[in-house]
Amino acid sequence: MGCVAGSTGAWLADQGVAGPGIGMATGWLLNSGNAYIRGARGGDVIQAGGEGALWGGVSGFAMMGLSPLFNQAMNIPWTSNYKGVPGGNEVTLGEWLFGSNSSNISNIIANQGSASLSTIFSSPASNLSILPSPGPQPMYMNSYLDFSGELTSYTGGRQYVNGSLDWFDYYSNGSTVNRGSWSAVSGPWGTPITTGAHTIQNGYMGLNTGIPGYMRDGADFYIDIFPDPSYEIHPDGNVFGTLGCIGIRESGVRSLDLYNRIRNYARRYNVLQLNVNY
Amino acid sequence: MFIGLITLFYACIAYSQEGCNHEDLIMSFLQKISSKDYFPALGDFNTYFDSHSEIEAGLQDEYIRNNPKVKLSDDTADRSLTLELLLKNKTVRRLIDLRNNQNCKWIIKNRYAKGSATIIYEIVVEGSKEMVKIQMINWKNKNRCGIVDILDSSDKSILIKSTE
Repeated sequence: MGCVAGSTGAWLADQGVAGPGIGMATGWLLNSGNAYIRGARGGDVIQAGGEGALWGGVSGFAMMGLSPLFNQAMNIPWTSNYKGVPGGNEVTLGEWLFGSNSSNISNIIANQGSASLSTIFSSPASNLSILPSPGPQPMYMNSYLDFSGELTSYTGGRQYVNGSLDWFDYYSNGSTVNRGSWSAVSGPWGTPITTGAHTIQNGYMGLNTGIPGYMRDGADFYIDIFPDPSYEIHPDGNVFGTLGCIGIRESGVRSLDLYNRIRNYARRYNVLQLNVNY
Repeated sequence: MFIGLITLFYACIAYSQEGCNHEDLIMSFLQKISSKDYFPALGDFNTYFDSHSEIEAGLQDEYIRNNPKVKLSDDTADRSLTLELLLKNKTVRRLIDLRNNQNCKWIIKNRYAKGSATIIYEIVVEGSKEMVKIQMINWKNKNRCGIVDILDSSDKSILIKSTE
């Protein structure tokens, strides 16, 4: 059983941002009632960092003995409901300051014995935005659909596009994240939808058409594709393929998931981009 | 209030049929297929069925798979597998014979919406209890008009064999 405060103080001193006072303060604060954090090492107090660390560690050790009485007297909030240790009843300073999201900080420290601030803030578990981060976080910009596939031969000299309809989220740094993929075809009973940019617009879609060719595994819907709404996205019911529409060849549940995503996006942003490549 | 709702429903149907008179199209279709020495032509399929219908294409595909050496053309004078299949149906055959032999009339007995984009018309011949149902596309915002399916009295499709 060691002293987490000492290691934190050592880190701060090592970064040149902490004097003995800060080291002592961190030792005092973080150690008040948290001395049991597993993996903490007594050796931390003599890590590089010199006096600040030493003072932090020493003060932390000193406060270990006094903290229970102090906590009881002052009713310090982060000394209750701590989730990092099974059965523990304390919270860390991070939790108290930043709420439930930052409770992961205590887990990082608990798992590693000690943790630098860069470790804490770069962790996916950490969701802190009010403190400096290693780099600018990319901001979500918009979403779009991408229908892509291979032009494939069919009987009677016909062709169809065998591919997938993918949902992408686009971010401010130019990156994209695929949020879903649905197996889809276009043709072969007519010319496949033209390549290039299309759109889906709010209000031009609906459920329960009653048309046999639009029903598949309980899903029945249409979504108009602009600029030519004779093309649609719909479940690929009836016989295989479409006249050129994008036919979704998925289970009813997955097909309806796609419909709901598109409808909700269109309701919020009015227009959803659809790119066609093959 | 109930009568008002019924009236509103039929008013909506009448409005949504603008540019596509379902009853005229159905009667014309029935007269056509029940005429003597009728040849089920692809041109008639194109005339009376919804332009997005995949029925003919699906039947052609199945036919080609079963008869790889046979070539089907897109000539409108060529035969329609859809109409050929319809005329082979026993109920349809009996209704046509009744109409031709006893000079009975085709009657639209009832109609009702199926989903948001189709209407089903119940068809009988005078003096017969047998019935077929013609499902019409009813999409007021789209330039589509025609038959999407023909069903028997138990709502089973006469034309669409495979359903996925």
